Amino acid sequence: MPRFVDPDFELFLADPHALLLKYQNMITTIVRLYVKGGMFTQDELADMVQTVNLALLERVGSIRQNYNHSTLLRTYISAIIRNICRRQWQINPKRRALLRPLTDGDADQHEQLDRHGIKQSKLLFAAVMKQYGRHGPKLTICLKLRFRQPLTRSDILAWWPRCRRAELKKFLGHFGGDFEKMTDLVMYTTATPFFNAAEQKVNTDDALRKWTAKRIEEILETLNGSIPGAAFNEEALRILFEDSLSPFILQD
Amino acid sequence: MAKSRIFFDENGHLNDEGVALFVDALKLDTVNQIPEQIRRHVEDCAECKTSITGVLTLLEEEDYGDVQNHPTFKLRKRPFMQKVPPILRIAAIVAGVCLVAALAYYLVVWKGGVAENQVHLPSARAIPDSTAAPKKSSEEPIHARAEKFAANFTPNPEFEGMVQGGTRSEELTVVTPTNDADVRPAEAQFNWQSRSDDALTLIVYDNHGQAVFSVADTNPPVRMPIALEPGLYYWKLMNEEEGLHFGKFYVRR
Repeated sequence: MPRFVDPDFELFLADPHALLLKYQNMITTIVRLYVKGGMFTQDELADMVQTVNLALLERVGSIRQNYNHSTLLRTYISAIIRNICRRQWQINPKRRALLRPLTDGDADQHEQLDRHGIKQSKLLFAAVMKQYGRHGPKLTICLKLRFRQPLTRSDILAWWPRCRRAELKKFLGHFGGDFEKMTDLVMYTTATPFFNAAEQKVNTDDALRKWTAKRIEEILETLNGSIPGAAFNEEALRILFEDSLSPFILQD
Repeated sequence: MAKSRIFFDENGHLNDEGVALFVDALKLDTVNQIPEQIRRHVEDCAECKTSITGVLTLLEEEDYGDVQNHPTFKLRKRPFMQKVPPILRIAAIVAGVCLVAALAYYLVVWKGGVAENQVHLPSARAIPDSTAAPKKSSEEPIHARAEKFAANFTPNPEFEGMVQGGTRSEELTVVTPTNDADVRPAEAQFNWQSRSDDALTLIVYDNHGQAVFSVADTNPPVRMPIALEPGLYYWKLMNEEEGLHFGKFYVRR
């Protein structure tokens, strides 16, 4: 069976200018996102689109050489455009001064979500969670503990399929209902033996808290590093996470 | 399958094509088809997650719904589902669940003949009222009565397979009756020990599979309120989710 070759690449080989014309809407949308994020001014929009076009034409040779036909060309080109835009922002000190993300506590996180688009934020959060792969089920449990959301049987079995009934019942007895008033100390002290049994380890109570904190920090870095001008903190993460559990909290 | 090494740069992180491949997978819902080496790396790499999510952000308005083919992934064609609004999909799922629940209720409660919290009157196999006129022995041939009596002790093939030496649950220990125990008609008593406080449902069947007694939400010991006719009986203990014990005993005079 012949391997599928993206027709856009055939166009690119035949006539790179024609391909760029086809991708102009996409290129403009991407640059506009960076303008909205504060990395470029509105006045620079047209110039930046042109800069991107020229940079792509300069890279025709390297694209032909490096592109291995494993992805859709438009996605591959988008990754290159991202690099071009970030490079343009980094080399210009005036542009770096323009971008002053709000720090923690400076902005209401609902406002942050509104600003960047609730639908977009929800989709990106879901995409970030998917990237955790095998760690996803444990991460879900730890976020539920952190944000005091009741655990379910399926949460635990998704992570520990061989969990014994007695263990399952005991753990859900602590965290399957309302444990909002439980302190972090009591929560991690209660949860740690369960995690140790599942992972066949002997970790301290603090290890689980640190693992959770590290993952939250990573998720926030990923979101804030991906969305131009974003400054989400843990409160926004809590909102997005709770919405992912009950997808009617946030209105798109 | 694409060779994974072409997706990594000299620093061991995803290059542009590696990032693009993961983004394609997220857009096309084919994450499980990503080469394992890439998935494993991304699971533990914050930098690559940022790159992937960064490109994904830029393509938020790009519609990948029209993509029919991909160089690496096998795409499922589900045009109908893609056109159905999410709220209708949810409504369809809820309707399906209600239908299944109604069918299960019908099959278990009405067809099975066992309702919760009710003690069933015994079947005709129980010892009849002593004040009633005794059936004249001449009305039924002796050999017929003997055959009928023997039939009450014939094992039920289906139930025999369910009888176990022990219980399915580590929390439960059956005290009485043990399997194959002989019990007097008016002395059948069920006793068990459980580590949990859950109230259980107890059902007693004759050897034809008919329920002759049941009680729900009960704790041990449970004494039969009726005297069973001599024969082979099976009994089951269950909670809300599953059967915990299936045993058998004989009633003899």
